[in-house]
Amino acid sequence: MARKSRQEFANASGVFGVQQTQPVEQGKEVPDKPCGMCVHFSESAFSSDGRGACKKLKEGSNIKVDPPVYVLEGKNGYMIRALTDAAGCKYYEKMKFVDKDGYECSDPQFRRTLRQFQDK
Amino acid sequence: MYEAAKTIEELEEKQQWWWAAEKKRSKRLDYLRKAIWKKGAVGGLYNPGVKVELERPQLQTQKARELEMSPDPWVMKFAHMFAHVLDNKTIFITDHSQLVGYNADLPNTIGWDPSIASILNEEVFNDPSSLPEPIEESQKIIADIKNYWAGKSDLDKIMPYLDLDDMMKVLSGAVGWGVPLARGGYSGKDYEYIMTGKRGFEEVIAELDKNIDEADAKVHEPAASQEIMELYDKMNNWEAMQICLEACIRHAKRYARLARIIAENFETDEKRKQELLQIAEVCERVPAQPPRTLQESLQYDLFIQLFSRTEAIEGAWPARPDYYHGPYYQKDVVEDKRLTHEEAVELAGEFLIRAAEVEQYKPKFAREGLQGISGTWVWTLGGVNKDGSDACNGMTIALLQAARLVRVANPTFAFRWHPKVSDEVMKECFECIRQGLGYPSMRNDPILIANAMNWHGHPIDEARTWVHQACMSPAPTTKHGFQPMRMANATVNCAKIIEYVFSSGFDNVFNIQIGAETPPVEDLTDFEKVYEAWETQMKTLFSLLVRPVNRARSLAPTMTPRPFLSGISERSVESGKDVCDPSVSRGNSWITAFTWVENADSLAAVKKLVFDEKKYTLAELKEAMDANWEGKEDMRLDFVKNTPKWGNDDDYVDDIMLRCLRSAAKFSREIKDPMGNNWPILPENVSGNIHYANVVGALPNGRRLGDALYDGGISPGPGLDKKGPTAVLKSCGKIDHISDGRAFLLNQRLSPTQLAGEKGFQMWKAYMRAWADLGIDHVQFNMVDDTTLRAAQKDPEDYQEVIVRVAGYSAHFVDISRKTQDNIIQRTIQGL
Amino acid sequence: MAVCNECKRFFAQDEQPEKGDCVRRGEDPRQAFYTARPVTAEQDASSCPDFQKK
Repeated sequence: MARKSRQEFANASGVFGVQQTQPVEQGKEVPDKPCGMCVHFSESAFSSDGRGACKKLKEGSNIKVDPPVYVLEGKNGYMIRALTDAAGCKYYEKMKFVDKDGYECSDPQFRRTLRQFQDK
Repeated sequence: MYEAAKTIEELEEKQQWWWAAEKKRSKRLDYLRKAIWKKGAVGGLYNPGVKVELERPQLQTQKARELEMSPDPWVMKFAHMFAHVLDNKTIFITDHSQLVGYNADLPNTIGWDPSIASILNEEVFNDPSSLPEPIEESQKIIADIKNYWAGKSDLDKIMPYLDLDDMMKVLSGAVGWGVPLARGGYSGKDYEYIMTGKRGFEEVIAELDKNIDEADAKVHEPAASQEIMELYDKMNNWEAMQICLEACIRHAKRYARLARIIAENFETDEKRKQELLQIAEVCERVPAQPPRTLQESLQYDLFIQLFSRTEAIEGAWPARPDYYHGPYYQKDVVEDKRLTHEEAVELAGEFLIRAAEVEQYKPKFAREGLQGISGTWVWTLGGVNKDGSDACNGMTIALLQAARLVRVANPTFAFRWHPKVSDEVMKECFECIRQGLGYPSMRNDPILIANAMNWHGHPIDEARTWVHQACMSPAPTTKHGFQPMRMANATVNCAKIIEYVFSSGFDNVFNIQIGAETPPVEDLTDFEKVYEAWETQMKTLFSLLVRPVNRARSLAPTMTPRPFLSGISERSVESGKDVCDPSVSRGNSWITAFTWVENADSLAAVKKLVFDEKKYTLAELKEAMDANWEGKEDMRLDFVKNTPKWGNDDDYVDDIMLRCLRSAAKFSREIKDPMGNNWPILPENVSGNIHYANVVGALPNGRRLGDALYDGGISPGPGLDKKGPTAVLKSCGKIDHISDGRAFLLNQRLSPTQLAGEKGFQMWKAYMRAWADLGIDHVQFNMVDDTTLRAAQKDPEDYQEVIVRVAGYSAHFVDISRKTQDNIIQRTIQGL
Repeated sequence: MAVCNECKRFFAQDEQPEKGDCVRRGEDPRQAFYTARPVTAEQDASSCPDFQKK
């Protein structure tokens, strides 16, 4: 893996711990289409602050620009956060929650250990 | 289902043990048992009413800010923070209690140490359920704390010194479980130094004083040498140990003072007043001086555990309470007769309750992997003395009886069985198991002593002191033998080994290359080539997870020191080196092998259907697995039903199991820890089989992505052991439990109805004899019938107290996720 | 200004009377208990909701 992409991955995945902390207010804002609600979102196993990767889009993608950049081939997933706004992403597909109260943990896609997703 | 008028006998007859226990225990134990807040997470979340504490993190952060410009080295700053917390945190004494101390500020709170890892602090901030009201106020406090520790916490500091490639793979969560930290894992204790009644903290402080004085004189002699260079660090370490131990003594005296204040100003009941004054006397005595009575001994132990959990997040509780408290039982109950046996049982019950209450905020992966409990607190009972004689004593019996009265799911016991154990003690163990506690698990002491000597070179008198470092692994309690920190991330999700054979190491769930780039599976022309790829993947994953632990262990003495634990460890008090320093430790590392048996069953399935019978090609199998068997149900069932499965005394698959274990054992001697010692594997699971259900893709044993994995260790797949308990034991007995690995977890379900009465005990004893004769190192039992478990799923409110053995630990059935519950019900009930 | 020293819940230390503990009765749905928290005698208690004059 190239040094540069390792660095990007590390930053996005929080391997070096938290480099930028979000203010309290920002944590409240949940976009209408957050990546964390998408079936393609794969949450990092090591924190519930919403770090994760897209299983559909690969490294090099960018859904924050207009028009979005979709990279579908490649080895590594596109690093995002649960609260990333996916409004512009054409691959967004809202998941069906099987777990209504947040206490089921068997499926990482349905873990709702983020406070921001409590009422979604 | 419960009628208040029932007698104890009727309740026991109907196996309603939890209601019977309620009637049998003392009023004090009943009050204290019901006072427990269940702190283990349910699924991924904490129970309603349980809140994260905010006092300690604020105190710690406040002190850290104060010390920022201090010239002190980190170890001293850390010690001052530790002392500041103990000096200023809120303490409480619960009504009716005789033992005191807790690691957070109120009974319903869980401890939070913000200096461990920023990612943990982020979790607290984002926690949906356990922030104290008002939430917005709490969030502001938490935001301030987490912002301060960002970049300063242990993990943040250690991470840049680890290999980035390795850590990216580890932190994906696909193959490992945990992070390499000296203040987050399983901490052994040098009980032979601190718990044998020879010294209390004051004696240690005096020893440290002497060492500092001598070193100070030495560094000012007309000389300059390497020894003098090293003394500067040693003096800092010694001073930090002193700061910690002195704070511990002050903290205990705060309890003494509170107890006196209550007795003299508030309490009107004369008997309780005397009890409070007794608490005051005890807390003035310990930990400053060695204990004299059973109450002092238990309080001393409890303080040590709580102080250690103030210094670090400890996910385990290595202990041998009958061995270390037994002499005080003997003195109080048998010799001086100042306590009755019943009073000793009550104290033991309260000791279990105090431990059951402890919880520290843990990251999500740990909450899910340890559903329903706060950590794997498997206390060791029985075993032998250093001279090989039976170590069981009155306290062994008191603890086993107390466990049946208080029925906590954590801590649990594991019993070191050996041929000299009396029938009386065996019956007590059996009663605990039969009454549905799921513990003690039974350990084969002679085998495990030999195992400890074989793998880590412990001398025999050291090996004979062994306790469970976590659920399963034996670790001595001696100067050089005890392990100060077992870092949990050397825990391999082994089902990935066989999965990666089919994907050339690419993880299709996490989208990154984690395993080795072995040749495309369709190019493997015979079973030997498949096995070769399996071995390569096994070695790659083991190395990947061991390397960060080795690195973090080497960095720990300077970057993440533990002055309190050092202060109660002979090797550190003597040498001035941090307790984690590899140079003063023998080493006792192991790789926990989650989801191991899937490899044997999968390889057997490949060998039989692909190479022997040539019914499918590897390309077809890969295609089916990539599609998660969708549209291939007939083929999948072929792989489930028509292939040999581990646990049926079938050499076809058992030989593959042995081959895999022996490949791993051979490699275990090639990879070394920083002490130069080996990394043997230990197959077991906790509830990782559920945690990993959606992390492990489809497997050749017919498993689909999302299906629960096997319950672990060397236990056969649920429902796949079709030939009865003897066949299970015979399969397991083919393993050499001394040299094939560190230990091997075996779950068995037995029928509580079949095992009632003396006849049942004799049947169980015969089973245990067969188990011992086959040289198997571990077995644990669930003895709750399906009817009760299904009823508990239907009406959880009525079955709050039903306990089951999950894997290396027990939990209340209602506190584990539905998937884990189903997995336990699916396990075969063996008729003896 | 009310200070801790004037409160019924304040218990001064014998050796250092300027320091002491704020001792309270606590209760939650499962148990009753007493708590102690270090305070100083002259600590401002004017905004303490549990202040009780001696």
